Amino acid sequence: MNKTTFSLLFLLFSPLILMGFHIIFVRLNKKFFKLKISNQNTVIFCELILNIPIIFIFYLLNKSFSAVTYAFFVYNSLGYAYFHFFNMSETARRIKILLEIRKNKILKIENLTNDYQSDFMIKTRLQRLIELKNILLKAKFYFLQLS
Amino acid sequence: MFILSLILGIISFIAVLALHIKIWRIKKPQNEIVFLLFLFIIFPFLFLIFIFFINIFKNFTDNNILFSVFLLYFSLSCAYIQTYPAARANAPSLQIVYFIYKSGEKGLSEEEIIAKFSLNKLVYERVEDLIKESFIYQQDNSILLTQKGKVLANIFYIYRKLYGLEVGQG
Repeated sequence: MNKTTFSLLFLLFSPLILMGFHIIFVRLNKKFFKLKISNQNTVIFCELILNIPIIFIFYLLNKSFSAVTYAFFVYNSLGYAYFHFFNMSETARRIKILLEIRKNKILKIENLTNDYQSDFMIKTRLQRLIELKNILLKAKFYFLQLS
Repeated sequence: MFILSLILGIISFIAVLALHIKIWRIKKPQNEIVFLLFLFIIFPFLFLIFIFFINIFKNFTDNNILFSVFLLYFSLSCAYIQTYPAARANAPSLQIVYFIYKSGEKGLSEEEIIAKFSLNKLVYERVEDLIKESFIYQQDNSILLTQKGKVLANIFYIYRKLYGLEVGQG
């Protein structure tokens, strides 16, 4: 296997490296660091920080700046897909419903709405949007965070 | 080599994206996600294998170029496919941002935002989607997982366990 093939395989499997790093970071944070950081910000942080070693290794194997651009596009597109997958497990209503049924085996539709109240759902999302710095709360009113 | 891969990878993605838009304008498939997977991943992957085979006999290009073009195309497609369901399902977070954007300098209070959503829309629509996609089925007034639903629920359950995280709040 030549260096280029190896480097392409390395990029192909970079989401697994990201996942491993993310799992370790989340577990260490829970046990030792205890940083107050949302789950979504954690995955964004892990994705961004891994740009450095992954693109650097790709550069070392290929020694060209076009390779760096290429690696940047591929790694970040795969990283973005990984973020969405994780985010789905965190925020998707469908996944929440599936996991609720898994826990209870069988679920009455009205019971589903008992612990899934719309105001709770909206409050959770408002909190997430504030943590992600998409919106801000000023004197009980929400505004878009423009910068 | 990588400049060529960048150009060809992006062109391939745009070509399939244009095809996707064209098909959707003619007739939107019932199971959009499965159709997207076939259109963006499975058919192009089979095409790549076909090209690889031809290349073995004709040797018209370096296999690494084929691999790198497909890898870029594949990564862009994965990013697109993952974005699509959120945009399609009227994600509440996106709607909240939109409502706040529309309110301009006045802003919106929590009560005003909550009033814009109904529990019916937020939960029952998703239950209907899950029934339509055969992940769950209805029995009298209850809902249960199908075999396909059990597999998906187990994947996400194990996935969250790997991180030591509780089930997401939805």
